[in-house]
Amino acid sequence: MASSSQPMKSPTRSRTRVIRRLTQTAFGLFIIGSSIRHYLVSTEHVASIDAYCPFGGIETLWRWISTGGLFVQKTHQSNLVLLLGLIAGVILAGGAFCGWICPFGALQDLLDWIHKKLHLPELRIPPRLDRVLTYGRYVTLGVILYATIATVKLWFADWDPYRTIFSLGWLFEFNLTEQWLAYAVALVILVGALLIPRFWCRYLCPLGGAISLLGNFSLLRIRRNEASCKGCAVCNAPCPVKIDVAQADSAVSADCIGCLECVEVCPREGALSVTLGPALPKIFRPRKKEHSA
Amino acid sequence: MKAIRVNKYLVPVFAVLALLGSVWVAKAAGAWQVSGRGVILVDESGEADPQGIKGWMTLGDVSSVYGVPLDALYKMIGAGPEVPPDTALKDLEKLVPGMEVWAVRTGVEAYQNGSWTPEGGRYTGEASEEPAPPTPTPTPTPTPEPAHPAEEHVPQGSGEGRGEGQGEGFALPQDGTRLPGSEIRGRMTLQEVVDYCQVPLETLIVELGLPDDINAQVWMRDLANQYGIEVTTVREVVDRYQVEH
Repeated sequence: MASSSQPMKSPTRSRTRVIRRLTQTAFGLFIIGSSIRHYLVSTEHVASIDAYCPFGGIETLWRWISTGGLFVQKTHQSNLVLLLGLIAGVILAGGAFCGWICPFGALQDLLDWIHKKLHLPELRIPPRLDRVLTYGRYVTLGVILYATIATVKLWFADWDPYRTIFSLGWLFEFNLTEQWLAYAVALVILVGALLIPRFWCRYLCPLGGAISLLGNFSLLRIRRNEASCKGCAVCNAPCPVKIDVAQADSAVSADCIGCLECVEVCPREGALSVTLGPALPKIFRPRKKEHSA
Repeated sequence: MKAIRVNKYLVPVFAVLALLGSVWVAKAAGAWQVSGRGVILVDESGEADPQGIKGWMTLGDVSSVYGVPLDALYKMIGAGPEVPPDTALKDLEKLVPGMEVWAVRTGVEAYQNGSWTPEGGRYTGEASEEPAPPTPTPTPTPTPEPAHPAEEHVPQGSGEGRGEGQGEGFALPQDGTRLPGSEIRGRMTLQEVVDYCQVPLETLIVELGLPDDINAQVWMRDLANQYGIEVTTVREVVDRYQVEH
């Protein structure tokens, strides 16, 4: 138990949130700017956003390895480079890519902000169902990888809500007849994100699934000091992916997107902190010894 | 080993640096490619394959990569000296009436195998030998890929038999055997690939991701324009099918 003499942190404005929003905006604007240039600039070759997606690296990886250098169409070396960068980033910092870089994550954060401003009702998912639904990311990941390998093309590209939204095809080449399914999927995801924070990230994102698997081995982790933590659960409220931080294992879940909101709001000094050290997935960690009374 | 407490901002800093750092390193190493542009298709012997000639290539590129002197290239496409060598082939299509990228591919092939020489004037062999192009299938590619379709990096492919076969550019099997995938050319129709290579149309449709109602008379070279599928991809699919069957 924590002693009552533990120092309390003074409340501060969320500087972290401001920095995160700026970072997300910068990456989002880069992607949107690339899409606009891709459509409007004809004097030079401007890459499509397909070339800037690390998930394209995952999709093309098998073909690249099995053929000795071929790529699935619309993927390039840049996708593999970004995948390598992503892997390095996840090993170092867990799922911070989702919280700080991914434009689709930023868009969902924006929708959540709108949701709060409009005082819309939040669809509360029971914890047990929430846990089951998170496995949807792995299903999506598996299906997409299988279909991409089988069809030797970006099988998911036609419905990928990230691609539908950020490629700006709906703006420059609106075509309801041929793209209705893509628009419908994107709309469902956006409405879902309006009602459930980070709906796509938590339940369906294939890249998030891959990051979560690898994130079990990340070196930088948010850890909860059980001695300092009083279980006030203040940290739970701002978590965009609704991790039960207050009850979390000493190393907070691999689903963590590294937004640092929980660390920021925690009123007790040292109860939640970022630590550097080797980490093992929960199933490999030694069980704690029971203390006898 | 005990975990040590660190500044929380290391989390985003590491994530961003790892991603941007990988891009920076790749750029420094010349490995940052966001399209197939700049990639030269080579065959198994390491020679540049004319089937890899793309619209982004300039006359100078074609000349230097494929060993065709510039003056021969000008004669091949019927361009005058006013056209600068740094003109991209896709731009030449607007400047020189009747000029198409595929004609440069077959023309360079013909130059390499000796079936066309500059003395013969403008290369028109393929156009004159072939019937009128089939009506393009109206179904466009379903993806919202705009002005710059991505090109696939294909570092292999066979050059064997190129230019053989009654001037058609590919050797038709004379003994009832099937045509290997490596012999597929841009001016073959989908139906010809089905017939000569003995691959079911349905297999090609599924493997290449083509629409079910595709016009089987569509030329291979048009698959690239309409569906983003390069001839080399068709070759791979056919080769794979022939190995399995």
